[in-house]
Amino acid sequence: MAATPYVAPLVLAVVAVIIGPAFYAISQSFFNWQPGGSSPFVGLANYTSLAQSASFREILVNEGIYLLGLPFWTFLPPIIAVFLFTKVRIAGAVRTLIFLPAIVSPALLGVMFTPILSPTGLIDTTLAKVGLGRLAQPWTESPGLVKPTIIAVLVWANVGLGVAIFTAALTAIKPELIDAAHVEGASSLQRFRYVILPSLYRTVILWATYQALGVFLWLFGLIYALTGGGPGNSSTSIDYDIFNNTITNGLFGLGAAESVYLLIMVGLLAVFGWRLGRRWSHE
Amino acid sequence: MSDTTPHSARTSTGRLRAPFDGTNGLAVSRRTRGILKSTVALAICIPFVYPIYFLLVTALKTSKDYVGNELGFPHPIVFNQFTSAWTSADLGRGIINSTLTATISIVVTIALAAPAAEVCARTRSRGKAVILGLAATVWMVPLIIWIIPLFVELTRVGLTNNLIVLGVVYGVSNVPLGIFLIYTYMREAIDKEVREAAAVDGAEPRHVFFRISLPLSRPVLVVVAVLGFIWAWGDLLIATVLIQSNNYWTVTMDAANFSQKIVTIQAQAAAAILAILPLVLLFAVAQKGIVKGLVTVSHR
Repeated sequence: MAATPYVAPLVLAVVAVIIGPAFYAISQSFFNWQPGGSSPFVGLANYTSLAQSASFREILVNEGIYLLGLPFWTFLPPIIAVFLFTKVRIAGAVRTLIFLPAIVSPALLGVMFTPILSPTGLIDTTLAKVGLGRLAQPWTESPGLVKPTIIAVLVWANVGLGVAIFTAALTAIKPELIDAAHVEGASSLQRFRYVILPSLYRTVILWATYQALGVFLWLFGLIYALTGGGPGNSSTSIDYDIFNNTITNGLFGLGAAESVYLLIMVGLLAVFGWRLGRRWSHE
Repeated sequence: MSDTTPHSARTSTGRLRAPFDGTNGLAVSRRTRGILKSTVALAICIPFVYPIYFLLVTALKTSKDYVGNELGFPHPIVFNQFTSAWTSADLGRGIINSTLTATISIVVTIALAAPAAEVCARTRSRGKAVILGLAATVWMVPLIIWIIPLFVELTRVGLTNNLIVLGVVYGVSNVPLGIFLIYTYMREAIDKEVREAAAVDGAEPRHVFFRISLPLSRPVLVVVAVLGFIWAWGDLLIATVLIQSNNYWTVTMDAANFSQKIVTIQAQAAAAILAILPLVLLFAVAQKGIVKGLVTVSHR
């Protein structure tokens, strides 16, 4: 086939680096996988011991609490994007500035927020200076506060990318649609409600799905650099936990089973978001 | 663009106002509304400017100055926080390692993705569905599920602690983004007529690729390169799994491990600035491409 030399290296590389190892992990989840040693077959033991483990349940609860950030992550960007779209003079500069965190990886985000959230850092000193010192908190060191703190950091990190995405969606609305509504005598509020808003639904669903997936896939760096999973396990995410179980503690079989659980959750979430997006786009 | 705004210029009657401008229903003049909007827009900027300001002034302060003057301008201005972060986190070595791996990853991504995108962009392409399906599948596989077994395999053959391997892994993991961006660009930028005319003139497919497609795709290749650099520079998970020896740490590994140590807040701020600055400079020169690329990729 004529295309073979164009795609053969790609297929080889992707199978060797990503697809092959992924299948290897799935198969090894049924073994007491000990790299370099004997790895006896253990059936579903890794899966059941995870299901019964208190720390795995704590991590699932953590993930659930992180998901409570979804309304903020999802709706703040379209609100800001629509506002900036109403002919605000400095809109372009604002979009550029708030986009900047999108180039900072989760790990570097953690690095930069360490001094900001420290008890002698930006937030607590500012609170003290404006006379609100009693509101000062050990943001990353209290089991109750660390997850809301991480949700807030993620708002900061993602809002600009979201605004850019919703601005693109707003720009893509056909002017004829708005003109038609105008001719029909729709008020500006009606035009917003019946023309602008429906054309954003699909983007909202896609964006929300993307954010929800991030809670399972992209927290490792932020957790590593900002909290180390602590205090205790109270901020540990599932990818951070898999890293700990395997690389730190050598429990490769258990980690493989945990990553299969992760794969299932991510798959369900993606399918759910995709179907929801399709339904909205038909309406 | 103004034609598509909810607050259209052609809104002639004063009663019709834009939603979300914060002044709905209030009888205020256009001018006042403009000022109010700009004020709200500036307020949105505060949470973004303030932490950056804080990191900058903190990194320029002595530890003694910081106590009692946490938020003010540094007095005196010192640079030794930068030098101490630079030496104790060994950032110079990290920056060299990161630049090397990022460069390798860019070459790998483009070498694998551009030919595949070309196949997708050809008229009557047969491989298109397969390639795009493969890219989407790879995109869906969580990083953590393949990086652990890959580490086990690479350990077996003695290829951990190797910056070239790290660069190749970054490059391969970024291939879906490359295929998607390059294919989208080729489809729009290169006319079918051009391809067909070249074929009629007897040009071989590889000549079309190397002499027409690839040169015309230069803008998107730059975007893929820049996004690949940002990805390789900022990653922590792949690097931490595949690299153990300090000699091969990337700058993000340096910074992430440094900020977890007991160091002063000034040194933490300095390390954060040094690790992020190259990305900010890159953003300053390639802003449009980065925004467009990231929007395209996360908005499929």
